[in-house]
Amino acid sequence: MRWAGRFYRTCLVLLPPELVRRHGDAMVALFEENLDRARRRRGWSGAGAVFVGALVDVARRALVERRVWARRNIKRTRTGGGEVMEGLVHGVWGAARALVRAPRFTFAAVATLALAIGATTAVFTVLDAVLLRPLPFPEPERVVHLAWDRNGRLLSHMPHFKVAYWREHTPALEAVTTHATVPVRLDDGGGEPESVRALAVDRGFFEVVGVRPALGRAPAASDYDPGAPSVVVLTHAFWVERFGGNAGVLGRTLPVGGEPFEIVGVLPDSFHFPYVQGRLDFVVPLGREADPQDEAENFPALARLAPGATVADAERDLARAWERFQNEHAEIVNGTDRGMKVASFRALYAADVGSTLWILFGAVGLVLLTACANVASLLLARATDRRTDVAVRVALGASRGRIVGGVLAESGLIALAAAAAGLGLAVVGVEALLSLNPQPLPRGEEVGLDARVVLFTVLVTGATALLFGLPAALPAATSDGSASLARGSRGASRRTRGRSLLLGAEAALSMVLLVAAGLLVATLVQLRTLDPGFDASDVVAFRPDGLPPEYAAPDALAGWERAIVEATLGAGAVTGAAWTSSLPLERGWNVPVAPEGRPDDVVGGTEWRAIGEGYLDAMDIELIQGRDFGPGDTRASEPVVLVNRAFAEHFFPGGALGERVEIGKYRGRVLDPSFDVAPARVVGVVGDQRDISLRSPARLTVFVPRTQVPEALHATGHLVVEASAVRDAAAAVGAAFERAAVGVDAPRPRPLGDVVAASLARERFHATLMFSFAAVGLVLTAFGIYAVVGYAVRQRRREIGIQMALGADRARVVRRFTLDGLRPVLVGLVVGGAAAVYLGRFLSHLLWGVTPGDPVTVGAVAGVLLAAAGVASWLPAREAAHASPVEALRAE
Amino acid sequence: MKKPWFHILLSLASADRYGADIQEDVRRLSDGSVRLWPATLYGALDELVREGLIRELEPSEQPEALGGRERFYRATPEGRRALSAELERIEAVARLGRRRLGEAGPGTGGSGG
Repeated sequence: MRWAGRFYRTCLVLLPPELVRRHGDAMVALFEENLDRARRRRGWSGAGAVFVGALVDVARRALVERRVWARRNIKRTRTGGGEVMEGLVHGVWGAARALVRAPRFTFAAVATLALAIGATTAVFTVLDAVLLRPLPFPEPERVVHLAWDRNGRLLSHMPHFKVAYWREHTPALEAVTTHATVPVRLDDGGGEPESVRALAVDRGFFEVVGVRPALGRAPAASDYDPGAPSVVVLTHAFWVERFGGNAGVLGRTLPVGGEPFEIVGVLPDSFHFPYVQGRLDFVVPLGREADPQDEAENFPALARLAPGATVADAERDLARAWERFQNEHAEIVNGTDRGMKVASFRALYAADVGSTLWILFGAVGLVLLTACANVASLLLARATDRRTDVAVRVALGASRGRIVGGVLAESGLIALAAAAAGLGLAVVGVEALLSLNPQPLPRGEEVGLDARVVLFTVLVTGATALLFGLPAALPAATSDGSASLARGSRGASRRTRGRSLLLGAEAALSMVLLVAAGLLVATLVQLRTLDPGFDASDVVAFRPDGLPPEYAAPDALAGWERAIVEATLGAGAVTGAAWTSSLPLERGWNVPVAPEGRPDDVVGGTEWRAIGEGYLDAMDIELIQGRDFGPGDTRASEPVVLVNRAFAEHFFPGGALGERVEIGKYRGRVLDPSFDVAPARVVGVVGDQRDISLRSPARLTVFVPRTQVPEALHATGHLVVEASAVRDAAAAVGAAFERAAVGVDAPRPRPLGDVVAASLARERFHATLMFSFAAVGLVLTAFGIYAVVGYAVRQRRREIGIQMALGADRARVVRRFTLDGLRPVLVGLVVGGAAAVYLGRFLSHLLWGVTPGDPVTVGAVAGVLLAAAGVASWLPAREAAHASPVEALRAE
Repeated sequence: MKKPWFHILLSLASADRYGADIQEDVRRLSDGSVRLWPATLYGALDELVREGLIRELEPSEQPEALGGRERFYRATPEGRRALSAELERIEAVARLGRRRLGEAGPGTGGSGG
């Protein structure tokens, strides 16, 4: 309880010093005694009530004492921390009244800050959930992620065999596991099967995540053996929904995929697995055999350090295991493999989004600083307006500390109101961020306002209150009473300099934001205008939902596809139609391809696409050499391929036509029996197309005819149709599907332009957000300039009136005031421009086709800022010059 | 009269007391319903001293066997008079209240006019 007493003593600073001097010790002793008694009688809740009650009592008494003091009116001569506190408490009432009396100023200040605090809090909320918050496991610092190192690149997923091998050979890790989400159907034979989502987990899962079922047990070691009787552990939500939370559920069965799985446990309600988005219904053992040849599927690896082991110990064991692995399984070791390494959640799952979030956080921080500068400027103007009042009070003996406290009280109230409004705006902001973001966020389901976020908001609010309150409070603190009164308006020069400084700072901050936004917008423009290697402008893609089983065989499918193309081409408005296995800019198949006779030159991840006749025409893809596929390219005829320019230049610099390639074979090993065919002959070379993204240069690509697709890669494809209007294409395809009468609905049209646009979703997201922040910063700065120049004009109305009465040129007056407002902006522009070029390096991974210091962008942005500043300066200056000189002289 | 003043004077009517003692006595007198928190208590004590309704005992007047750290207080004659006047006012209100209840009778709701 000693800390409580110490805290209580600290709070006594709110009370008058004499009261504390006389009775402070007794009050603390009495407080501690009350606290102790309450705890003995009513436990901690009673003690808590006494704690809160005593603090409220101090606050209440502080207000009462203020009234008593005002009546007694004791003169203070020192300024000190205690005095500032007095000023604060006494100032709170006064500040509240003063703010209510100036609604426009109060609204402007609160709204400006609320927007900035809201935006900052929103970005922090997302940042915290994705990057900062510890994983939701017991002792989360002991959970490690394992990644496969391939030539320095960390792969988060690897074949199951590798996970199992490292589990056996890493004593520093007490458990290593993996997981996969599997959509399954609950089918008890009668009624409609229900689609649910299962999490299939390997041994060690429950130990790694540190969860114990609330009911029943976790799967035993034997349950993970392939072929063992199937067991299942339900999630809490699924248990409540399907079994009504009935504890008698253990031992019953669940018809998973038509097979009975015994329910052996129920997970606690608190269980949350951050690697999987969306609902999970139950957990089943993976039951997979550790087969070195099994490379069909890849899995993530998660582990927990053994008690007493460190990450360094784990890394040592991992390296040792890698040595053994290379000896024992040389045949599956790739030349670029470097073994299993420890990695972070951020590196594996949030690398891209992590850096974007930090950049956004930095940007929104700049907006907050701009808002603080703006409000500081407003407060400074207010202080200037009240300088006479302050000087009179100081001359009459009011302590400077109290006056400073009063100003800080105003700042505090403004900040508090802004924080409350800002928190509300942050809720909206978080929703907006999540919905605008083109990709699902890792740990996105954990995003939400919680105690950490509120604490952050409180700290930010306190910092901003000081940041914008102090510049206004300091002039009050240094006011020297009657001397200041005598100086009159000439004393305002220091305040004016302060406001100019703030303006310059705002301009600099705006410049940084605007340059960042400009660069991201330039990136977007560059990507949108580059030639992707095909013409998406009048192409529409269609993908059937699935075909009846009779079309499962490749020949039947090929025949059906041909019929659809013919029927579609029959419609007058359609100028081209063809099938393809995957669309550009969307992921397709990767297969190893090597020139015949050179298996060691194999490129493992060659892009593979199966296209029908007419695809090159429909997509306007350049045929550089040779020929397109034709009716003669059938399953029975010679295997042929088309390759892209990059492929031809890589493997056959002397010319690719006529050369042969082996597809689906990796260093002599055939990936699937259906790849065991004769090498294919290159019959044509086509232009490069962007395939994964517009940013990345074209990868090596092979095209095979739809009629020669191997069984392993046989699947429904996309129909691309070239037509002048989307509805023409849709009508033609609809009619074709109806004529084919296979019982499949005509698929919905997807303009290829949309596919291209979707591939730029991330760039659009970055550009939109940064542009919004920059726009807010610019508006704040322009508003600040307008206010400062307008104020300067008002202060010098008399001077202007005299000049005009003496025949001064109106235009000169306007020019003078406009330039006065622009001068600090120019300085800020230069400083901000330099800062922007320096900070641009942090943006470089988001840019494309434009350098961080791009002079065109910086110049254009500077022009925009100057123009906005010029207008904001000119408007009030123009008003002044056009006012009547007589009225201006009368106004003083 | 302010509530804290009333309760403090009431407590000091029968004995000299120090701060914690006054708090405990008031709590007992009111059956736990009135609580003088430390800041209110000591602030009111200072006010009462300034008004001359109570005074702080000199060191020589302090009861023995206590650490000497506690400040003891005693109601002044003026304080006792003020308390007496307040009690009379309360009694008068109590009498009036009882008369009205007696005139109206339980649950009849009428008023004498």
